[in-house]
Amino acid sequence: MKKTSLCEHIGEQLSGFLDGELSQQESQRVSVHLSQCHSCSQTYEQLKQIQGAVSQTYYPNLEQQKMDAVLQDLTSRRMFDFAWFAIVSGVLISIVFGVYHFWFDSSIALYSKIVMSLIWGGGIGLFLTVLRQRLIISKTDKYNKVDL
Amino acid sequence: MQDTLAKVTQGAFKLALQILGQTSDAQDALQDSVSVAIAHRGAPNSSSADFKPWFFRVVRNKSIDKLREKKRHQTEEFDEQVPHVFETNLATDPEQAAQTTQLNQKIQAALAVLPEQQRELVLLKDYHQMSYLEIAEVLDIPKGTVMSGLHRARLALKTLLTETVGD
Ligand SMILES: [Zn+2]
Repeated sequence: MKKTSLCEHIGEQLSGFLDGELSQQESQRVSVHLSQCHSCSQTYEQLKQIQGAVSQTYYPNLEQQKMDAVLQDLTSRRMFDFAWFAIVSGVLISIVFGVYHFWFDSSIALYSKIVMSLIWGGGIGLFLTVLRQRLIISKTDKYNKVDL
Repeated sequence: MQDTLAKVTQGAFKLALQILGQTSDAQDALQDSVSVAIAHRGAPNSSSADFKPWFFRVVRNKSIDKLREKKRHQTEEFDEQVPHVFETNLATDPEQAAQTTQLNQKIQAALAVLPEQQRELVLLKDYHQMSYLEIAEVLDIPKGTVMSGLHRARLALKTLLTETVGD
């Protein structure tokens, strides 16, 4: 059987058939055509051979030691994030408790409560500024630039 | 099919190698991608089936960035000729050279001649065994164009291979 318009119509579905990506109806149609058309079934066999050869192509693994190092970085990065989280939450908790105890401690005079509050408030303000800058840096850092 | 993380990362390394052609560059690209996987909040869990295409997409983008960066660097500094992608592999890795059969070399040479997207389609499907849907995700193209592009790529590959064989 010579190439027909049906052959052209089948066209890319040969690949879809090869990859098992066609609907049942489509793949039945291709399969019937392959049984009748020498030209298409020859092409199909060649594509199948190429597919087999490509799947066997050799590319080296990354050496285990290097792969471990790559994944190690993953672990240390996770620990780094965890350490930051621990520090920030520790500081926040101690601030809350500190403020609570300080303001409800009746043995401290009001004026020293106000002075200490100003000093500590300033310190915390500075800390938050630094924290904010760090967050901005981590947001604009190149690793986060994945457009997904 | 359940892919372990180790299998996905080795596959991802090879994807980077297929784009970049050099082991050390591919390792760098993989390293950057692992960092992305850690930092990115929307990353699928590494044990889920969604992880592989997601991670491959990151690796592909990182590899392409790296390739561009290298090209820019080369044209700015000096016009040093880079040996061809796949030849570099063969020459520098004796283990690979030993395992590379003639057919293998022929396939790699033919793949190297294909336009970039065709090569990627063939490798993602036939080497990395991804589904059309996964390929569409990795390459960021509509799923409907995967089959036609892949078929065109395979026909081109067929022509290249039958030409060289003289069949
Ligand atoms: Zn036909």
